Amino acid sequence: MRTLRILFAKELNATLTSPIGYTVAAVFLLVLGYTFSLTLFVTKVANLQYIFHQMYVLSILLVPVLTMRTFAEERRSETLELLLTAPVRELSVVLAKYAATLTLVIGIFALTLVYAVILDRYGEPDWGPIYAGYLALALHASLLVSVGLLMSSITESQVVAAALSIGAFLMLWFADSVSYLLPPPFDSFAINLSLIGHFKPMVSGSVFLSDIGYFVTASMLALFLTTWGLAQR
Amino acid sequence: MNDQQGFKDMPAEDASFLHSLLQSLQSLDWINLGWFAGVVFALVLLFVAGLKVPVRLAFASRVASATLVAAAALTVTILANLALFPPRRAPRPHARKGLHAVGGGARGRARAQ
Repeated sequence: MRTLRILFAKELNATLTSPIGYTVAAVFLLVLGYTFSLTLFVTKVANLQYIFHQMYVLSILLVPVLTMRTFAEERRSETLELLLTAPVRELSVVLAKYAATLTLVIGIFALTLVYAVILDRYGEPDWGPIYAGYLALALHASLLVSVGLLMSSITESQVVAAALSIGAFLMLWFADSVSYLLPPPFDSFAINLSLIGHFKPMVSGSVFLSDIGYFVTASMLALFLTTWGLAQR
Repeated sequence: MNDQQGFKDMPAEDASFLHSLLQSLQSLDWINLGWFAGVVFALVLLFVAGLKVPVRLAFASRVASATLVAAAALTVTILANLALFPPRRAPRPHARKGLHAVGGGARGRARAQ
């Protein structure tokens, strides 16, 4: 546990001292602020559902930028061997990188709480969907970060890692579209594989354990594959 | 609030918040929560056990071993998701497609039926 804490602090320090995180946060908040103001002035409705969907899309595009360097950079600079030959387990290395990146992403998401405060100040928002929406975003971020780590662990190039991550996220997003072509029960399988199919009910305030389970188990699968892949080296 | 004050002395807003929190806690389905925790814990155990699998299995090449382990992990994850999605709530694929076609959330609306 102590090793994990030290590795986490090291990774978090590396993440926070890099300009990438701040750039991503700035772009993220700029786009969201624009959308929030526009939506609020046009619809005059005190809810954040539209913003949550915007955050869903933006995180698919921006999280790979944060995860691409995690392992790819270490491989390129040949420090991964040093890290893996140190007396630390691969699982600790992976969990530390995962926790540090997830902390940054959730930190960026947390900055958008100011929108909820604004809604509360000037209106009477329904808090249920807002709580559920932030839970959905946290789970979504967990899945994106873990898959991003997996993609970063299989290549030396950061650009390739980011491209692979975005490709994987988009395939997961549109997985349900192929259900129209598939016979039962494969169509049901394709629908349940879809990222948005599990995100949308939560954002509208319907929290199902099966949806939470999808994000949790998929994150665990990606983390397992990353750890196992590292152990192979 | 000092020690003399009780639940009734709290401002109305706080009391209603506690009341709604208590209500939502009471409405939670603890059996399903336990089932969920059990499935996730079992998956964690399986993955931790999977990390002990040797890099190269005795009967297969390195690439085949990696493929086998990845396929096994994927299968276990799918099974865990099936276990978390009770059959009584499993929507009919065709009904969900129809709902999806009109722009609704396929899953949420099918559940709402």
